[in-house]
Amino acid sequence: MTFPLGSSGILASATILCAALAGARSTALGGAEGGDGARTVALRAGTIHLVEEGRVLEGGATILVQGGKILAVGGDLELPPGAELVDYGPDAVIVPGLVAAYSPYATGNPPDRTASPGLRAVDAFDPYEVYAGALAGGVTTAYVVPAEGRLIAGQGALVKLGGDDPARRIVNDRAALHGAIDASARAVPGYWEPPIPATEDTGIGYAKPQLPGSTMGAIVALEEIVDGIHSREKRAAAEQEYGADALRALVPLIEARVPWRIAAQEPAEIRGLLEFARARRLPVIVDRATAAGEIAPEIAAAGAAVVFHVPYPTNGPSVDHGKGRDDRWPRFDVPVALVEAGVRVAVAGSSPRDLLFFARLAQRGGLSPSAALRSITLTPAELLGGEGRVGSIRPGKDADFCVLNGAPLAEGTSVLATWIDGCAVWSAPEPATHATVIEVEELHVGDGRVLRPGQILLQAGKIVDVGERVSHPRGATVVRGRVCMPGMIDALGHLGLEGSRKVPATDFALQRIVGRAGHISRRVAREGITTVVLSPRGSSNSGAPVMAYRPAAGDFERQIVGDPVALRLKWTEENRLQSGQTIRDLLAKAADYRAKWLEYEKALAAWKPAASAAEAPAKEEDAKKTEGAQSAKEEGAAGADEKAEEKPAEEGKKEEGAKKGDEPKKEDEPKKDSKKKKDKKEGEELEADPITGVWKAEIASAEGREASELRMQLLFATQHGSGPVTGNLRVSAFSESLIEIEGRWDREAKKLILEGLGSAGWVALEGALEGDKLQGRVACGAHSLEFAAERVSKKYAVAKRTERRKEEPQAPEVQKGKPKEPRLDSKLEPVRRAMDGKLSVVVQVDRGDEILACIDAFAARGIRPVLLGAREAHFVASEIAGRVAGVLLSPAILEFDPKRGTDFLAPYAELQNAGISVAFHSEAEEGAVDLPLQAAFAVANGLSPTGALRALTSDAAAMMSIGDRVGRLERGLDGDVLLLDGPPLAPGSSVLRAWVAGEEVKP
Amino acid sequence: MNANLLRSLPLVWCLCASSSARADPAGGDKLVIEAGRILTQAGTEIENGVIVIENGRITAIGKADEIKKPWDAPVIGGPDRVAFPGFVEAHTSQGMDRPNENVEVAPFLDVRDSVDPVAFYFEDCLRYGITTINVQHGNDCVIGAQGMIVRPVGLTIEEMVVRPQYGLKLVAAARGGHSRATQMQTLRQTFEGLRRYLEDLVEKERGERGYAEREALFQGKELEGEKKKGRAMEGTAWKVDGLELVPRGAIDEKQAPLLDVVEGRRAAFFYCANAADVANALAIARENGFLAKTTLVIAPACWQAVDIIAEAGTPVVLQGPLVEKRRDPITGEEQETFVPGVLRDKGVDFALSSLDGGPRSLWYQAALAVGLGLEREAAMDAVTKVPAEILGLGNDVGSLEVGKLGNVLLFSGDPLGVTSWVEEAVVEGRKVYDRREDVRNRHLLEGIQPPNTAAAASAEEPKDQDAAAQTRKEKETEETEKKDGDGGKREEKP
Amino acid sequence: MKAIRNAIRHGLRFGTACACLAALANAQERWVVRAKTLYTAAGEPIEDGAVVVVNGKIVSVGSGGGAGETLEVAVVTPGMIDLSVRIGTREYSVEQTTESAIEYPVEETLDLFSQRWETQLESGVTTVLAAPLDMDVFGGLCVVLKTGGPRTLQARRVKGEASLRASLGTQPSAGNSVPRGSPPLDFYFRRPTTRMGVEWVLRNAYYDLLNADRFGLAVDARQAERNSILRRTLEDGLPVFVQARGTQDVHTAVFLKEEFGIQEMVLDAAAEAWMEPELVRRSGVGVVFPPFPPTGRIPDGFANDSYFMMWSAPARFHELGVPIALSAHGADEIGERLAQQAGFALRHGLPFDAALEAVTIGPARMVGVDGRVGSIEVGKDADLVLWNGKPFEPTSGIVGVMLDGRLVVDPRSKP
Repeated sequence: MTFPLGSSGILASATILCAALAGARSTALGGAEGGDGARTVALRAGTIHLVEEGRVLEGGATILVQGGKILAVGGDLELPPGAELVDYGPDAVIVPGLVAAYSPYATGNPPDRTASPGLRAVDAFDPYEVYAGALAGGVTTAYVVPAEGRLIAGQGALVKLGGDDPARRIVNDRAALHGAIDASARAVPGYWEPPIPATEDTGIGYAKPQLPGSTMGAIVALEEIVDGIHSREKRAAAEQEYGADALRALVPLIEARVPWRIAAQEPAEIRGLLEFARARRLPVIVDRATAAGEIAPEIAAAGAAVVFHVPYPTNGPSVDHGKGRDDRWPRFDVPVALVEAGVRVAVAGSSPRDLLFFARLAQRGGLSPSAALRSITLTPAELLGGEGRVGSIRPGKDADFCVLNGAPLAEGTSVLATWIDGCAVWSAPEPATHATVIEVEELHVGDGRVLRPGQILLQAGKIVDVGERVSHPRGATVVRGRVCMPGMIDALGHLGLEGSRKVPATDFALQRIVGRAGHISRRVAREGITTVVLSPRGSSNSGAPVMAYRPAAGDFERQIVGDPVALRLKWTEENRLQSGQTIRDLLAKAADYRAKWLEYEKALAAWKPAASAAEAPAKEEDAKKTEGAQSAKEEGAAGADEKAEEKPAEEGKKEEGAKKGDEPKKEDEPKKDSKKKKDKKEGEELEADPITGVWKAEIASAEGREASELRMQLLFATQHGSGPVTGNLRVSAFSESLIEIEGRWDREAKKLILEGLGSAGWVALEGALEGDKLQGRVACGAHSLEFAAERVSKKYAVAKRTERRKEEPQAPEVQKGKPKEPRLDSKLEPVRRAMDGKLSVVVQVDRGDEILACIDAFAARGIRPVLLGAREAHFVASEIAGRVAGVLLSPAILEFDPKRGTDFLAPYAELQNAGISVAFHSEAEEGAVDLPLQAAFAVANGLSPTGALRALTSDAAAMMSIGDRVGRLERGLDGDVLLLDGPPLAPGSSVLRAWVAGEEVKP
Repeated sequence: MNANLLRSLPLVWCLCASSSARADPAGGDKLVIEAGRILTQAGTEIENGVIVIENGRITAIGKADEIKKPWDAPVIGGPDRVAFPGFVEAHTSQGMDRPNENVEVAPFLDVRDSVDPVAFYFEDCLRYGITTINVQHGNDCVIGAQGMIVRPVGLTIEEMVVRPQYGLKLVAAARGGHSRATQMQTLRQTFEGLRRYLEDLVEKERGERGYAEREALFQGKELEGEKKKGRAMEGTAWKVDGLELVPRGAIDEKQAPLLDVVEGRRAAFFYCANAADVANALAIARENGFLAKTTLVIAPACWQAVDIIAEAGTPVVLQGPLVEKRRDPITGEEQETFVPGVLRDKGVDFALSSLDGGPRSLWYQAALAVGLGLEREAAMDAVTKVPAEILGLGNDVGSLEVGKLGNVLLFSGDPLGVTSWVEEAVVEGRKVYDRREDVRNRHLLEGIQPPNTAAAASAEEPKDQDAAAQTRKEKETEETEKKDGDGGKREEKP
Repeated sequence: MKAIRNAIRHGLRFGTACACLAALANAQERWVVRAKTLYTAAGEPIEDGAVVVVNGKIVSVGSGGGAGETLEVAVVTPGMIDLSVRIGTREYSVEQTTESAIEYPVEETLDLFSQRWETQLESGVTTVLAAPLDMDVFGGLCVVLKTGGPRTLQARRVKGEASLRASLGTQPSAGNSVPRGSPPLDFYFRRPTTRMGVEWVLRNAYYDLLNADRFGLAVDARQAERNSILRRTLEDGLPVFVQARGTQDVHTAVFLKEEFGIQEMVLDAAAEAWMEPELVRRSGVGVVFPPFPPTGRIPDGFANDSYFMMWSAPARFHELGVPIALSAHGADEIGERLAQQAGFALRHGLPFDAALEAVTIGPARMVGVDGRVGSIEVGKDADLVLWNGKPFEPTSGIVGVMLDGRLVVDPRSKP
């Protein structure tokens, strides 16, 4: 079985993967145990760097892992039964888990004494911690430092940064004796031991100064210590100076020939160190080694190794290196110099997670990629006594790997996954913003342009960038190939109808029949047809809806490209005399429907919310009054208030007094002009807004309930005609708390219907307006009460802010005097949108004369239709050029020419040469897969290959007005991409892989 | 009327209890306890039973009609009471003036000099039913002072002491300003130092007879009896030959307790703050052969190391909250782990410990544990039997059985019920607590400021600071941003 | 699925994450929650009761069940309500330019992504009142919201502008300093530095309102807005939540209420209110108690003083008929959460029903959301807490939580 890689999200897919395999509990529960012995995993990738004498397996190789160890590795291994396969694909590269020669994970405060070899980093290291940062950088093993800034700071250890078994995570508990003779060691303070007890005869003691204060001092100190161990007579002095514990702790280390990893930077320091080591036959590793380059031969001669720290602090501010003549500036050529001199060099840097990057920097000096890779894997492992378990890929070693998406040290390469002991402990985050980069030799944009070479970056379903070289985000899947092109479009197909012959009305949303992508849709997509412009079979008189969708996309919202994208009509009738009649009528109707809207929009543009400004002072003076729900963007009104504010207060008062009197009239005033017509029409004299305000009613006792009061505050949103009403209701009979209610006022029926949730359940209120009295009944559950309320105030008293921050959908249209929208006619709406050029019209028409008539009819309404069928279009090509959006010829590619007997015409070629864009369509379901063949056939008969490609992609998209979503490989469009092994439509070439909305279509 | 007279006796008892120190701690006294229910913690539950205590120990326990009550014994309790063995605090650093001495290795100190008999903590212990307490040095050291087991009764340390010079505190967790490595270095060097010290004592003794006596004399000790004898070393991990030549008394105060530990004669309480510490602690205990006598005092985060704890077979005392929160470094999710649950699943013996002197005492921790999914029995044991075993008092406390000490709590209801209180507490046959006479409880409960507790308010503050200093420190950091943001304002304004 | 991934990305606790899965799955479903004992907080407990939930609302309460996914637990109570969770607001949510930030709505600064909402939700607290920190005299307008659901205000808000926050005592003046020698250049010099100063700011705000009305003074838009809000406290019963910890503060608060005729007032964190039972009862204020202090004393962050809270204060006030609510101040620690606070209240003499009310319908009434939450009644939001034993006993745990009909903690997932 294969594993869903990086299907992370809920848990580190890594740890899960491991747990799943081990069949054990989630590793989140910690506890000790690696992958159990029985389990065998096979990792597969395009390239595997073994690092052992620089060997590289290319063209697909496999690693067998069992019980956390490498079982075998090779190009052609057959999987043992029951082995789980983890395939990272042909583009992935596997290298050994990286080994960081420096890490701060166990570094503590410097010890009191200048030499404290007893301090063990492995004690401070937390083997239960997961060092996610470093794992994300592909680092599986690290050298942990006991402490910094002492001559002998303690024993460093080599540990693993992940994995379940704490014991197994210790690779070497005394990898090196860690110390320094450079400037850092000279900061050592005096040593003071508090005497216990501090009596007057012992005294409180004093701080004893400690070596070193200089390089010589450092060397002297080292010599005294080591000699103190070897020679009896010097011991007393040494113990006196450095403490008995120090010497005692050193003995076993020297016996075990643990390397002395001493930081030395200047040539002098390094020389001194080498001399000291040579004289006493101690294995030495020169740490930091800033200036090692100059004396590389000497180091080689002394047989010492080097841990070079790349002098660049990632993620840190740059450092000044001094302006003096012999100030040392950072050099990156040290490693290469050393390697050439035959010195073993491990490359390290300030932060383990950037180890790959440090290796890249090491290359700047001229280090070869293979050497650079070795310097962060095998070499450090060897230097620090871990080569038995880590550092290279060899049967028997631990199964620690770093999976990359490209050449290890190429720029833009990043880590896909990190494995420790046969478990994926980290995987690059998936998938919401997961990035895919496709690199090809030639990239067909779709509109004729071609990039050589070309790269695409897909992210979150969209094409984020297209160019010769695009950015490679961390953890991006990188795919390499020869050719890629946009997904092809079936300009008119039926995939998804599943045989249905129904012709729904134009206001039917076809997306309702879209189902989840099945294997058929996926196959079609893998053949290259990613988008289908779906239309019912045939169309009724009133036309049929057309939508565009991606059958193979992962989820619904990514499936839908546009709905509707076009309106399908039928011009040709059996009785030719009636051809086009219905369409003409439809267009006529639509035309004046549209006129209404245009008028409305004009009025809307002309209208300004002046009304509110006029009575601003009144409102401001008693802040409780507001005009209803005011949408956030209409802050303008508030601004107006401010201005109005400047009037002297008394005047403001007067006005207010005046206004309060004749509120309703004033309210009508502003909107007279805009809706005079309307008022006349309804004739009768009903106040514009009879609802807004406070209503009170006494409710007589009914069915055993005591008499109670009903008080409601209502706000009639659109303050004329009919519309939504909101407010609150207090009816003590049904609810002890205020009830938020909403409902609708029907002006024609003079009916008011409200409901809201009270503490005793839903409360429904129904009333009819008689005169200025509201007669009705209020009901809650089974009980209902009669009431007759009257309006005691016409103000809806609430503080401003509540209203402004209410997010009801119907918030916006509430300005007095604002022109009213015409009624929506769902049937005519599509036509109107077509007239506005927002929708395409696909019209079925055959004969030349009909084509011309049809085009004229549409042209009159400013529509450039897409001709469907159009057998004779090429006869009238010159006339229709520029007046149609495009032509969908009948699937017959060749036309028999009635005039000249035998010869055949190639209408596709002719039309396209006449500058009319064409597209291919299947009028079938899964039959859509023939489109490329149609195209190829058309090419075989004179259509230009580029033209054919356009017809399959950009032109089809353009004529179906989905050009802004699909059809081209352009920044911002959807990620529908095909990867081919040859030029599009070339006989030999076929689609290898397909991406729909940024996700690859899997079988 | 005879009965009435007897009824009134308890008052007298607790008077003399609280007042003068008595020659015989056990006392030659009798007491009969009646209870509607007795939860013996020894597997049985007795409906309206009777407990007879003589000379501080339980002589009979059973159904009221089966047990013969001594005619002259005072009787307390009643049918509405639930009897339960006194809780056992397996490890605490409260009740001392300050829990930590500022010396890394201080086995020459003894907490008895720091335990404050009138500390509010001990009063609270009775209020919440803790009758046996193991007081150990605080966690901010490498090797702490010698601890002791006390009963929260009496005005002098002599009255309180149950086991003097009991146990030694060791710490694997990094102290403030130090790394875990330095901690381990010091631990190793200390035991290494002990060995060397003993070796050259022996060496010198061999060289010139009587060196050790003179040395001791110089230190101002005279050796007689037990101290005069030398004994061969018993350490299981390492031994120093010829130690029998050295009189034990000559070994100085710093090294003697360590030697006790290495020889397995003294319990070790090893504090660990996280899983990595646990591994280190067990390593030290193994290297020096006192694993068998080691109890791990663990912070919740240690649950990760539960496997090696189970393997080592050491009991643990859980200190701090019952649930550990940690964020998964890869997914960033916060995960909550119910630590006692994990320990139970792996078969580790664990005792719970109070969060603070106040209401979050043993009973509350146990109750919470039940609420979080621990079996009731396990929770009960974790505050009675298990700690008793850990402290080597298995035969004295932890359950109500014939022969064990008469430490009995009389609850008004279910011991773990939120509404039930300790009405009366009996320690070794003496009634030492009666809720009706608990002035401070009434003060807290009913707000009545008792006349003679003016000191209470002032005594409050120092107690607050000392009790559980560490936990508090950690708390505060988050509190500033968590709780009502008090700290913030100050920073906001100059 | 994507929604969940995002949720995870925002660091949902794992349990909740799973619950989310469940939630999405069953958002629209019909639930039947059966309980041995059903405490509705609206009348007598129902033995072997069942609550039927459809689309997030309670459609029936009683013994009848019917079709739908069924949950069986020991006890069901309404979702708990904490009126004093101090979550989601930080120092930066405190308006520093004024001490009477009356018109500032705290909801606009709330951090809905704080981990601690989940903690609340899992500990059974489904509705909370989010208030600004008590660093201004008038902290602003509080909002009542659910602790779960989509991380947007619209989705979580139960009631905006539920109360006006005010604070007395040392906190608002803490840190403000008096100019010594130097001219009062610094902003903080101008702020109250004493109790009286604080109280004056409070009074002043109301005087401004009254004057504006009495003499019809012209006020700028901002002032008008403030006034409108203050006026609501006088006329529309917008509750004023006053932090009054010490006795003295309680006095002040009550007198203010009576002086200006503030309709609804609630004393928050009122540790020492119990010392003036009569005054409190007479004035008809509500009381929100702080978490029970282990030693009885709550240290004052600023004055080196501490407030003494009698353990049986809630019980005492309950007897007097004062509306009370308990609070955990959003504590994360197991053992200090709201359920445990109710437990302590029981221990210290509060009857069970009263304790239940004090964490459910009681607080709901204080902020006028009892129409939607706080009890198990037909038509209300389906916020339920599922217990495996007698509620508020430390020995019984919360095994399930339902919020708006979504099962956030699934009792079936617990062993």
